[in-house]
Amino acid sequence: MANETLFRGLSIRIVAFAIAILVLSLAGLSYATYDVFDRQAAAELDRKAAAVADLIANRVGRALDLGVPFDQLVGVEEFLGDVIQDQPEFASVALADAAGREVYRKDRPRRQGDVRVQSWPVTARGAAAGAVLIGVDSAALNERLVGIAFDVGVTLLVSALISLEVLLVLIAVSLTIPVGTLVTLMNRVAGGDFSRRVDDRARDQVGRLTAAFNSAIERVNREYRAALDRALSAGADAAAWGAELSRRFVFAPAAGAEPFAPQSVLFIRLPLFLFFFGSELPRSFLPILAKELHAASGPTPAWLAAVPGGDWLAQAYAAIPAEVLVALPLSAYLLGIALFSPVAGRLAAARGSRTLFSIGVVPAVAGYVLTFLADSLPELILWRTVNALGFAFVSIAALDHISAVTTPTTRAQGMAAYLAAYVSAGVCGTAIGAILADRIGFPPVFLLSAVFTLGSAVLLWILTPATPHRDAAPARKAGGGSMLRLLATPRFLGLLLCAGIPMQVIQSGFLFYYAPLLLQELGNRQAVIGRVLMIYFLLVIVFNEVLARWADGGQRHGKAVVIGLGLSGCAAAAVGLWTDTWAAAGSVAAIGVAWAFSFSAQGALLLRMGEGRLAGVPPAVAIGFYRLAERCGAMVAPVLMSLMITHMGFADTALITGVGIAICAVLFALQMAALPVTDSTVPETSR
Amino acid sequence: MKALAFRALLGVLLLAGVNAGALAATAKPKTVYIMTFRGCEEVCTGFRDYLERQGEAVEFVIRDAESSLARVADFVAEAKATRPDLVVTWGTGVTLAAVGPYDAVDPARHITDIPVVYLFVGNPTEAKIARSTTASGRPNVAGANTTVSFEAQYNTMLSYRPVKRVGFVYNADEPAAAVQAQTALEQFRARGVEVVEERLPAGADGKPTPESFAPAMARVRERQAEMLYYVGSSFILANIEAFSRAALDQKLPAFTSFELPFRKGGALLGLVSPLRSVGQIAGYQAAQVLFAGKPPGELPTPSLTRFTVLINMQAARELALWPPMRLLQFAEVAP
Repeated sequence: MANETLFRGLSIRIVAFAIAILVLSLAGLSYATYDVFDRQAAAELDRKAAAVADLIANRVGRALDLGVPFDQLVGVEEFLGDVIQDQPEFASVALADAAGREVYRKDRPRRQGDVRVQSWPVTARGAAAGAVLIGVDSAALNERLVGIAFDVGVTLLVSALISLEVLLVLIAVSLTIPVGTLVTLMNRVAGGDFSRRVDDRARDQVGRLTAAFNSAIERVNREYRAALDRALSAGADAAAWGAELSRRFVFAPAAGAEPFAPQSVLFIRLPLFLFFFGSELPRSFLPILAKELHAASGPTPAWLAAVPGGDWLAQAYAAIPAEVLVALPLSAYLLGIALFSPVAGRLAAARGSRTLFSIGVVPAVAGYVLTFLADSLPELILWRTVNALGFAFVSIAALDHISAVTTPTTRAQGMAAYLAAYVSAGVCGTAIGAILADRIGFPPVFLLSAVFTLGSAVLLWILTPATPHRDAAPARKAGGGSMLRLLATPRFLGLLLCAGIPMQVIQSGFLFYYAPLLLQELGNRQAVIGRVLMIYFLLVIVFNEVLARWADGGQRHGKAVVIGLGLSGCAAAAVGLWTDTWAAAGSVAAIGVAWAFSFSAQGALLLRMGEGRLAGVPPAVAIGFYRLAERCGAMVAPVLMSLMITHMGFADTALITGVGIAICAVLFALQMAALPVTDSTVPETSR
Repeated sequence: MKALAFRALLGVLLLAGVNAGALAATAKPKTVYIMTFRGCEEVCTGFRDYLERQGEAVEFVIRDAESSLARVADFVAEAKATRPDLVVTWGTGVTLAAVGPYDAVDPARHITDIPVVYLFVGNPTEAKIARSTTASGRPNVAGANTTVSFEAQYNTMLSYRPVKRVGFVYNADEPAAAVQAQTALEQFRARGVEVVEERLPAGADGKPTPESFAPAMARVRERQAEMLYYVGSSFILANIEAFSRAALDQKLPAFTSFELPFRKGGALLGLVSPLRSVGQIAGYQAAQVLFAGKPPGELPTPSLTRFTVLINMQAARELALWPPMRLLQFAEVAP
């Protein structure tokens, strides 16, 4: 096991320095580009206004030439409306007669502040006949510029995060891990153990260092064997000396020193990041895509009935209310993960995590490609389930790998690496997926997901050494009996019902389903939706560690859960009261913080309850059940949200959800007061 | 060496060119026998130009009935004697005289064993020239649908001005006109538009006279029709100038889906099949028969889908009914 903490200082300095330089230079470049764009956009807008005015003057001039009197032109407003229809930069367009009197005028329905009016002449029969007046809306231009600035900023942030991921792994693989291995082996040498050499074929400085070490080890072993041979042939005394030597030191067998293969969670981090990145790309538009596909394919897509035996399937499909159907792509995905995870667990034990990861990539890629081709809602639901199979395999493979290469004391660090990969992929994938969707449409983004997923498999084979040997005993099987016993435990049940499930409703229902739909309803571009959802992941990254430490520090896990619930409730209710984009963004941010408060605290609470308060079920097993039950909540949440949105509208849905969660916060606070959780075992964080 | 090869190649090419030319010159050109009603006008030239551009040798024999259907019998006899590769008939009258209605074909008077493509037939199924709108249903006959769809006509009228009541003034004595009036009437009523009908009264010789136009228009105007819908008929077409004058005198804007009433008369608005396109689409069918050797009866009947909006500014000025800006953008305007 390489000592990862040893070179942490160095690698942090290198990474921080590299990223600082990258961000600064990118920021400078972006600013320069933006500045050029800013100036050009204004000039471009003037040119566009001139072109539009020219077109209008031309057509009006022709009508006047044909003998239509200026004040009797027909349908001018409609015509002007057509011309500026898709041009939000033009607030108004008007037509004035030769005397300068404004006769016709068309305004955009949504006018914003500062409007600058420009005028172009209209000529007919060789004489001035009037003027075209165009009101250029500077606010609309600014809005567009701000949007671009945000896109640039998001891209900057994402490139910094991706560089961080890549650099961390690069430094670990080429420096930290081999040097750590060397340190370990040199310590062994200091203790008299010459039996291991470093398994490293790198050609760089570190590689030469390890090669030097290896040759030193070989030399020692060679000399030892030669000395031993000489001693054996020299006689009994010398043989006794040799035996004494091998008692005090450990030498390699005659076949040569055994290679020492380092294991680290860092090997799997980059492939995992890429895989999660691919799966997060469609995050911000999936509910919108589901709605669009449903609208396009109608209550029963024709192909469904054409499938052999699809008749009853089509009938069943038609019988499901539309609100439930459009939420199914999200729910089916979560259900798929829940169903396939146990299978994946058994496969991991039989085949090893690297193979399982590679197997999982196949359905994941297939799911993305098929989703790209899908043009009806049932297809989307089906292919999302195929994706879920891939996700289940890969995530279980990753967790299996982590538990294989970590010891109980470093397991929390391993889990933290897994979560970090997931959350930073969440930031990057959600934002980039949305920006791309704005430019290339929804379906092609799935192809990109497929590419990243394939890339993750390739990286896995390059980076990860062969699957480490698993000596850990398979996880203890716990039957349904312990589940029932757990559910009969007031503390467990209270935590699950008042905290676990409500937090899933907030995440999977409110955040991932309701928020994208609301933001779209409010007229936002997809990039804005992605940007808003990104805030959630970003705040989880920023606050997760800090808040978990705060909760651990003063045994404040109960408080942390209550605060998380309360914050989530207020956040949702606020969207109900002020149903606009800013409220939604603030709410998403608050949910990010709330999640950081409560996620690891829930696990910690379960651990602190201990077997005694969990009906004799070991806390680790109880956490497994807890996560499973939570997932059921997560599956139902999108459907629940969809039904509520249809029947009571966006505002009331948010308000009721918020109030409901706030009530849960109060109930859980009461539970903590009535049934306090005091330490019964040594607390261990579950991050 | 290179130069030699080049020269050899050039020689081969030249020879090939000469041979191809000789072959083209010796290959027997296809003969197309065109029966027109009043000479080879725009539809007929559109047809000829299309066929000539196909790059095959075609010889045209053009006969002009000089507006007398009786002369078509002579053309039929000539065609039967000379056996051209294809007979083309212009208009409903000539076509019926040449091939007969499908339920009354007389092999003595009609062409039954030479391929026939008809041009410019307003309603081939109604005239019993074709059995359906998708195929002629007759082994030796093919042609295209070139009428403007009613939906398109209606939308064009509406885009000029809102219309709740239209007027028909027509000669009910002509069966084709009566059929067109009936069809249009049903279509208007289905869209909630009222129709004010005026049938022209028969004069002393049993035929209507142009003098009956003015009183008919006055009655239509009195009954508050907002637009006059032109119902085609030979009689009105023959007197189209007087007809249009009478409408304009009553401040009645007119709509037509035929090109001639627009060009010659003062109809305000038209939506027509461009005459050249009518000829071209028939030319396409003729090419299938002549060069691809397809039997006419097996050709599917194509339809024109692109029409031209026509606006007559003279009428617009007289009526002070100005065209909307949207329509002006893509209309063909007669100043």
